[in-house]
Amino acid sequence: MSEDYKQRYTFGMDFGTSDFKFGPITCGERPEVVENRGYFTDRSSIIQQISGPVKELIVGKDIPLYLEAREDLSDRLVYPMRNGIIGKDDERSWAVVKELTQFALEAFRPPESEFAGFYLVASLSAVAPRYMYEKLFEIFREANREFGSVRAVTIIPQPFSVAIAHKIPTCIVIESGHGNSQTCPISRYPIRDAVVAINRGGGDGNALTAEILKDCGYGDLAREESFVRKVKENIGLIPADLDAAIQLTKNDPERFKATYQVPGTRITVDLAENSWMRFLIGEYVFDPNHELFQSYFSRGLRKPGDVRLGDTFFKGMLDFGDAIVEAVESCPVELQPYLYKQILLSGGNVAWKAPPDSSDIAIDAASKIRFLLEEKGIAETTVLMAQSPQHSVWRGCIVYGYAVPVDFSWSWEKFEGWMNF
Amino acid sequence: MTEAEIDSRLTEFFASRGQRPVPRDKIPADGEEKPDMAFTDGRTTTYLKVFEKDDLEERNTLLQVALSAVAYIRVANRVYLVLPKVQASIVDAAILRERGLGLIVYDSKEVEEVLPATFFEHDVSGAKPSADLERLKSRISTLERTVDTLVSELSRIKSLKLEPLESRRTHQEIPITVAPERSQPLPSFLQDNPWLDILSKRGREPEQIAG
Repeated sequence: MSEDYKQRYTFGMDFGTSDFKFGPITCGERPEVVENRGYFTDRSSIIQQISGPVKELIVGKDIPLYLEAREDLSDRLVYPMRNGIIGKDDERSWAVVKELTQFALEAFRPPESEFAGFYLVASLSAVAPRYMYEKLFEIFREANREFGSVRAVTIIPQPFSVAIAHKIPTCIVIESGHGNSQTCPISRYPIRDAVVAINRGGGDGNALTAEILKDCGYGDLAREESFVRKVKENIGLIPADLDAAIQLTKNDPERFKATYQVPGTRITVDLAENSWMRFLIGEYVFDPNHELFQSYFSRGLRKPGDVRLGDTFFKGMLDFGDAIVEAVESCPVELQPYLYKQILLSGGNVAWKAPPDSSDIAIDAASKIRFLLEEKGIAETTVLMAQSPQHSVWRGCIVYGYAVPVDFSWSWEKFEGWMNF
Repeated sequence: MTEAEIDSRLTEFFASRGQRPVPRDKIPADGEEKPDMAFTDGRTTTYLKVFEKDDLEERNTLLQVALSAVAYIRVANRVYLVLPKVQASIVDAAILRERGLGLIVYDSKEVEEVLPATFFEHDVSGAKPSADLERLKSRISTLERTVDTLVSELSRIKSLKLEPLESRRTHQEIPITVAPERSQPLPSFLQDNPWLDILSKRGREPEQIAG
């Protein structure tokens, strides 16, 4: 198959923790986005028996049309990539991945008679174990067998995709999602042995926010995860220095008064004299080691623990600064200065607002990383926020598929190349 | 027998069946040559193609006219060929029957229906069939135009995601290195991206750090 054909039919898929982004090169700047989830219908329900046969597994934008108000809804609604890794025997999650894959490929099947399958580039978490690659290859192989929609496929790590999309060949990428965070050095290739995984992500920020809401008298609302997440996003702040920020806010509560009015409701959250707690949320995401967090752990907040998932060891309490240092120091000495010079932040868990008039107290994620590295004696750094973080992994997939030659075959040693079908 | 006498005899014949003549200027003909005579009872119409002895010197003439008379079926409920009795033997009644045409023969004494015409269902009453047909034609044309517009709109919507694929083809003939002179700009993330050069050498360069 020719380079021309491959470039015309390059297709990207980003299996994110919350969203599944997909589409061919012809999508331009933005891919299609659906939630990375599937709904297993109850085929024995009376409603379904009346309304006629319904598919067992629903994916895509139609899911809300099938949801039933049932107590077992959460069991039926499966988010396969919640922490970036799917268990080898988690059949329901793999079924969702397969369905999403076929849904995506069929949504963009070209009408041309010359079409003989896409050159598909999929992106997984940097900590995805080998069996996930094998399973995904098998799913794509089946898609090709059944529908002739995949000519060749490759799988690349998400941080690698982000670096490609941002046109930076040598850098550290921090990809922080709902369930965990990965620090991945890149130097023309992803340096897999140097990846440092952190067992802490946006979900942990939500958990701490829920505890704060309970302390402030909103315990009844703290049970709704989507509500808690909105509160975190609207009142959470990253402190330059936690102690200084708390002191300042206690002395001048009005300056950083934390209130949030839930749109379309009568509910207003007001932390009042506890407004200093809003800084705990941002601090916890980047560094959970301050003594103040111990009281939350002792009262039931789940302490991020060290765990092994697949082949990867995830550290729970590692701060982002230490994670970067550990990742960089696993690379050749000669390369290390170049890695510190370009640090790229990506993922929903690093998208924080900073009030424009409080740059000395409340800061953005890039500044926080710079402060953490400065504490460790690393001053020469450039920290960038990923542009269009939701789409950058997909964009990297498209660039990769467009550029990598068709005759570069898949290698299990390098985890790169095309698996031809 | 003169033409006027023939007309008079035929008028009597159809009058006995409750049909009166339609004035020639009010005979609708659906764009075809008008029949020689037409009769109506108010609900149905009958068209006649009348031949005189001199018209039938050539067998082909009868055939030609008979075929043209078939066109009257689109407007009239019944169509007859009217021939002098002495020359009726040259006509194959089976062919007329197959076409739904009837045959009337005449001589100086009588007018006789030897082959009844097939009844064709139409909306009746004089000028109406043609006017209604025109109206229907007009409405069908309008509907066809509407359907065409809808089909074309639907195709456009369906092809929205695929249109860029067509335009994308113009890019493919250009080498992999970024070329600013492309006729249509590449997505921003592909423009001036150093990874294009790096990745295009995959499999063609010495081992790099791969972890």
